[in-house]
Amino acid sequence: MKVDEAKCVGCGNCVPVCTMGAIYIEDSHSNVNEDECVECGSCIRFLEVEGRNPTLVRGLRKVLNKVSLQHDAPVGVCVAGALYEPTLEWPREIRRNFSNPAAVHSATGIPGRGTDEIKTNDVNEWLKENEALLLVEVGRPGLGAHMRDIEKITTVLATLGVDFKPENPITLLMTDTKTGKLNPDTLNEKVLSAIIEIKIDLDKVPVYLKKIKETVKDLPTVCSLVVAGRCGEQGDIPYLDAVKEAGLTPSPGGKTNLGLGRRGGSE
Amino acid sequence: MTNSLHRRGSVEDLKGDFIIFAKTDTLNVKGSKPGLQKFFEMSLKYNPVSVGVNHDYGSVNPSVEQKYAAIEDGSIVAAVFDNTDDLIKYLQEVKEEDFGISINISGLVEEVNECCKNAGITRHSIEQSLGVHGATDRLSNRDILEITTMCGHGMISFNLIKKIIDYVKLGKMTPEEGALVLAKPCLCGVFNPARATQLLERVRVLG
Repeated sequence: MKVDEAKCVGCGNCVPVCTMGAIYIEDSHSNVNEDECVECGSCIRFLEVEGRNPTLVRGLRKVLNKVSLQHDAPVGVCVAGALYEPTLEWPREIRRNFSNPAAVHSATGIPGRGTDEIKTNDVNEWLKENEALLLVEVGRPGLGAHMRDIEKITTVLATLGVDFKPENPITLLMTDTKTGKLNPDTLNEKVLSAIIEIKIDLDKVPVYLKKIKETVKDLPTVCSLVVAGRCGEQGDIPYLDAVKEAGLTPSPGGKTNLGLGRRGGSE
Repeated sequence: MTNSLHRRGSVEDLKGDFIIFAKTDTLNVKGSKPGLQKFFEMSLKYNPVSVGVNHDYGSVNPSVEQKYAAIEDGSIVAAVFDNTDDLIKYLQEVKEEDFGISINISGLVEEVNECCKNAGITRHSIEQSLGVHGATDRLSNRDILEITTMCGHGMISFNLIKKIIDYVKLGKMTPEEGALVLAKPCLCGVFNPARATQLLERVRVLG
């Protein structure tokens, strides 16, 4: 994200909107810390352009200041439309691809940072009984993650011999799925979050979860862990014992695929 | 992605927060538009607190009509409910319509299972959060996390929530007005403004 300094009046409305806290006021206008900005586009979407003359606004603000008065722009507006999105090139473009939900990921062809997980498992039967899907969403909630930190996890998982989900955007950035190494061009890029997806046998869940916990504990960011499985005939949850063995407890909330989908849809 | 999976809150709070959504696969995407439109239309009868279509990203604050018009083959269509009574009635109708499209519900697992049983459905697959690990000391407080995690894409910043909480406490905004501002960055419409209003009211009164 960029700021047109000639237009910005320094109202500061964009500062709290930034998901990464990357916008700050200096020299009476907004600035973007480009290392921290993940190109999510939330600021430019959230702030409606008021379309006021910036010179006039600055002048009025000075006058009001002189008589100890001030006028705050309403939350949710950019007074003169100072924000703009530059054209992004490789490797910076991956920031947008992983962080902006409106961007269709060039690798997967769908918006978002991951895949369908279990959302369509009733149709494609990708995840079978006695298998589990583990997801590590790095950077969530709210802190973001550098690719170099994500690589620390993928390389450790690779040593255990996992199958990274092939169409996952992180897998597609790997130079070698056997080592879990990511394209070195990308390592200094930061994203809002990214999801590592692996499918393993159900009985291996405790080992993998323990390894993941150990790996992420020293990272400078957070990771949200997820487990998923194919329910039994009576709808029972398959992974509860395995998760307990790893010393973890599933949250009371979750996502349930109701099993109403089928190949060919309504045809 | 895991959009609606990591919503934070007490079991009591989460009893008013259910997201039901329809999602096609490459194996049934073709010709899915009419079914998705009907799924969307039907939800409106049961008082959803929000509805969303993931392909309406181009509009700023799209109306319900604009969202409906944006539905196409392969859209993800979601409705958010704040109670299970409405959800069950909707679910029964969804089952009867037999769209052949995958339907998922995010919310309290056992409550959702009860809703499924009421509608004569046996759940197929399940996915649960195992918590947040790593540098958790860098995270904001509980109130902020409960609000920010209602947007699965992480579009509602900690700082915006802090600002709105301050405005509500100072009387510059009502909790309802604050919730609507916070709903705005959430593109896919799964943010629950009714729950956000309750949370802001709680923070306003209790500090």
